[in-house]
Amino acid sequence: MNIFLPVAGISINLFVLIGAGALVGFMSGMFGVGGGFLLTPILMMIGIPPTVAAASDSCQIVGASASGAAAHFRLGNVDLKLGSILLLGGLAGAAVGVQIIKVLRRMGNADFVIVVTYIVVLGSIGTFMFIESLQSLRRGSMVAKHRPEGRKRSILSKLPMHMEFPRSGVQHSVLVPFLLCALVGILAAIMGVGGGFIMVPMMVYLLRMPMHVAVGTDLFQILFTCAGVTFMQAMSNHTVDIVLAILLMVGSTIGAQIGARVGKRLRGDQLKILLASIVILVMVKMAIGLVVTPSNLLSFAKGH
Amino acid sequence: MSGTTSGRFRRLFLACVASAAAVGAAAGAPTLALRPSVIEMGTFYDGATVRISGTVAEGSQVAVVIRGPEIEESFNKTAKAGPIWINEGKVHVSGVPSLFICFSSAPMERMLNRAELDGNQLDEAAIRGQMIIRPPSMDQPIIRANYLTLKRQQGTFGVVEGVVRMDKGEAGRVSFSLDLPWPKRAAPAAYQVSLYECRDGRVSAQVSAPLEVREVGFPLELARMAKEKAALYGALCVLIAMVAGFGIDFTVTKLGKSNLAGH
Repeated sequence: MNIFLPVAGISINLFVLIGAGALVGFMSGMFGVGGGFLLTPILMMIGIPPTVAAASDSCQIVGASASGAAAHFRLGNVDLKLGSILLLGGLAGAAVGVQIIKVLRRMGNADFVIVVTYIVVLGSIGTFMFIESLQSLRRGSMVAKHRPEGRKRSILSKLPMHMEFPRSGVQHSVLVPFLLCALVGILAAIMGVGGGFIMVPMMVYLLRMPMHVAVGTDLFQILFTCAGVTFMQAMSNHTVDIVLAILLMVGSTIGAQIGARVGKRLRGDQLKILLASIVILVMVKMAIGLVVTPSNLLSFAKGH
Repeated sequence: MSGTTSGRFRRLFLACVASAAAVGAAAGAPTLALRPSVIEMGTFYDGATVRISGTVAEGSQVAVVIRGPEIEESFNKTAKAGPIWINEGKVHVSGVPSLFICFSSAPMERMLNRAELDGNQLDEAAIRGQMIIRPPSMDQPIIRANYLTLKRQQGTFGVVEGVVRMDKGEAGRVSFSLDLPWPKRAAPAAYQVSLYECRDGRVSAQVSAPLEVREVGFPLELARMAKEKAALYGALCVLIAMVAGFGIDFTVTKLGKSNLAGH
């Protein structure tokens, strides 16, 4: 059964789109990652123009993250207080990142910086998460549960404006999540993705948040970030296809619900090792893509 | 005697008229008909088959070409820098139709000479030659070849030889037909279907007809809104996405609770 996508201007099988959405939604619900780094290439593979794929993907992430965030909220996994600070930091960082990209583009080496940033960031996060989770799994307990109470105060903990975040069970200076999230926002803007796969590890390892709360809180901030991106894309590029987004959403919201439930059944370490494996796979694929001769030297131009 | 003479004259006159009519028909312009000539893309549009038919002079071969409007297309170009492949910058291609599909009754190079193929832009080599690439410093032959490969993968470029059916002729004319499964992924636009009557290595006659592919109904209204009322459309997209997300969560939760109650 085919359906015509009015902005993309093409006709595509309904179930292919719903299936693609379900796959990405499952990951979104389970790991708190938006799935943009996976869905846009899938859509391009099935014939959606790249600019429409990227913009409509943002729109469907709004739906998927709303569904995932609501599910996590009921499970007590969303830290609204910390999430709001993260959101502000992320938006500030994204604004800086966009300017950095503009400068790099003018200098002519933006693409090289983007690819290298991808490989370094994904490689570092993935490897660290994988090793840490593996050690934790072998020990048979979560590191977070055995956090020493009287650990040394780091430089970050000496910053002013301390605040307690009871939902996450942590205490930080407001500046810590704000600055860390601004850094993630810069990276996300440079890499052209939502940043969930950087944000979740950052929340777990640097902010010491429990994995499930990190996932729920990340979905909460992704909801607002992607809502902004969708509106901007619709305003400036006219590339958001709402029919495409709704079909992806039908799949992804159902997938997100299943993902959230499956995620709840898994231990934090198991979730972390799965996410680490996916991050490492994406990094390896990118690294291979850098050295293997492409089958076609041209690709459809996609806005960044 | 006079009766016999007048009968001969009448027969001679009729024979002259008949042969003149046959020559006229043989030399007449080819005809081209499309059914349908407008493809409407509604909500559940699932492609369409266009019947292309007509007549040409007996002994001719036929090439039917569908062309999309000429637009400049932009691509990213990858190049090797040391051991790695990175994006070198943008390449802009123009001067060629956005869609080019050619069907013929025989191999194109057997039907037409090179000058005719190039002059009428009728095969891959001709399309390659007419591409305009910006910036001109880019590796031209590779870009031309890669562009066509990309378009072929997209389904918007192709040359299919020997598929136009030629039927038996009548009065110096032969009819032809072709059932064209319209590419589902071809964008709404004003396309041009051209018929080339080929004889002795040359295009002896040519006729064209428009093929309009347009959105209708709900898709048309939505596409129009996305362009003309972008802010409203953007806000609506966000709102719909949020309502859908929370709505599905609500539904799934309700279903889960009712299942638990059932047990």
